[in-house]
Amino acid sequence: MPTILTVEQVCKQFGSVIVADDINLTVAEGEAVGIIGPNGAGKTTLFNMIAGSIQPTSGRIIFGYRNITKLRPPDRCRAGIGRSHQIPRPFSGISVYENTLVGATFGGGREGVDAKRRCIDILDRLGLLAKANQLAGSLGLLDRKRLELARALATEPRLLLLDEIAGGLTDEEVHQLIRIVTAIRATGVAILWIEHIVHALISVVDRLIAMHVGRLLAEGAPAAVMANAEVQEVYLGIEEP
Amino acid sequence: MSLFAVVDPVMQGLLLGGMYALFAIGLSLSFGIMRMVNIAHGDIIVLAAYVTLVVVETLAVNPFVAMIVVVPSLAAFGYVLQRVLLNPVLGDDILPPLLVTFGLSVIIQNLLLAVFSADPMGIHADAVQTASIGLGGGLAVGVLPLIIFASAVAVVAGLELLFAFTGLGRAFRATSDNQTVAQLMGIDNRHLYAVATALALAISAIAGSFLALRTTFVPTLGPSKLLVAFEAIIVGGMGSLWGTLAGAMLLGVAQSIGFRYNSGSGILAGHFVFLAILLVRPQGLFARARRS
Repeated sequence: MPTILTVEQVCKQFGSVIVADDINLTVAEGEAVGIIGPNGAGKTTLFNMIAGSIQPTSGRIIFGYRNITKLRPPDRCRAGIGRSHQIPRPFSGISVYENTLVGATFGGGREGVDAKRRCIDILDRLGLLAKANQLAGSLGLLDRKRLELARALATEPRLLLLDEIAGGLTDEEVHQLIRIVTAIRATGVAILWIEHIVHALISVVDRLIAMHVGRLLAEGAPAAVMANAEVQEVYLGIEEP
Repeated sequence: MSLFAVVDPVMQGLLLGGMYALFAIGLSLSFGIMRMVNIAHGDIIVLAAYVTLVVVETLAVNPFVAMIVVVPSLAAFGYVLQRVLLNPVLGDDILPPLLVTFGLSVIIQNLLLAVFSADPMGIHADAVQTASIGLGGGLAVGVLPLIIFASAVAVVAGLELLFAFTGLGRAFRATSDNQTVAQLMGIDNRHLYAVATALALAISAIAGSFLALRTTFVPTLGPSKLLVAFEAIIVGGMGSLWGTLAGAMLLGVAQSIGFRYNSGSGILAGHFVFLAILLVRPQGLFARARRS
């Protein structure tokens, strides 16, 4: 499979604090990659740099065959990078349906009936169709997380960045989300997924990356990464014997 | 007190409110979409009045025909103004755009003074300025105030339709809600803001053309128009264009009644109503529920 995302020697410093230290990673087209790491590991910062809301101090980000390091967020969205936030950030004053319609028209470049069909289809797949006309601000947490996902999907991403979409949900809700993400994967969208709920992550991803204080700690098959002694020490708090 | 003495000032005041609403809508749009307060807003209206005057005199056309030239010109000016001057200073800090538009206000006033002098000017061309319709019992409404009021209603209705049913309107609402996320949804905020300012200046151009038809004007008139616009928006309640129209009409009625009793205190009566609303209902008459 050709590579869709390459993060090359990316560093990010806020003042004297290093939040990303020489990050190198690739995602293949259609691949699902999980990212784990304790709070402050720099996971969300990495997403912000890939989606374009913050600029790396040095290094390059390549999407497809294009160097997107200097591209602004709307251009990256249109190039095919969709992202969902850890804390859902819906446009709370407009309806659920309109939230997705904004993504489909401006990010996905669709118009009229075509855009509307696409949004209705996505809302249906994510179980939000019954609430399509509600104000997004009136949704509960699970529905907000679904909307976050629906809106990112509406922009027709080739790479989807999921930031802790399972956090704060009940077991049953997590299972629902896993089914949704698995279905999205089946359509050929590459996924980069940050998650603390490891069993959810492992049931979907092909590969796992562990981060710690701005660096990549381990990378590979999920089972191997989870068994890695360093990962266990920093992430799970298990001391080496 | 005769019925005439009550009905006439109220009616004239309601129609005057149409003019004030046109002053206010552009300002309301800038603030609603970009959280930007344009201090030069009133001066841009006065600029539009002078542009109308120039077009009427050089092309020897009817002022309404002149608007076909004036409105797109001001819209184009607005687009460029936003891209070149205002976008670079928009950010989390609201002070830089305030300072830049304050500077713009000073520049426009002095430019107008240099070109047109401080003498009052006006357009004395059209029969519509003096035409009126008799309603019986000595009551009469001017044709021009009626046209201005109808235009204000049409502008508000048009904008509400734009916001509710078009992709551009959704983009405006989404960006007003959260501009960072709007960018992640593929909305180019720099272009969208420029379109918003183009729209605001197009409406200010309509206001300026009508101002030129209604009264004489001087280069330093802008700040007083800005004040009226602020008052109408605050009385009506932020975020509601129909509220702005209602607020403008209330101010118009207050001023009109004030004028009737003492020709020097009309404007003051408007300010008193504004103060009273601030005390009793500071969120304005038709404020929408606050965002969570």
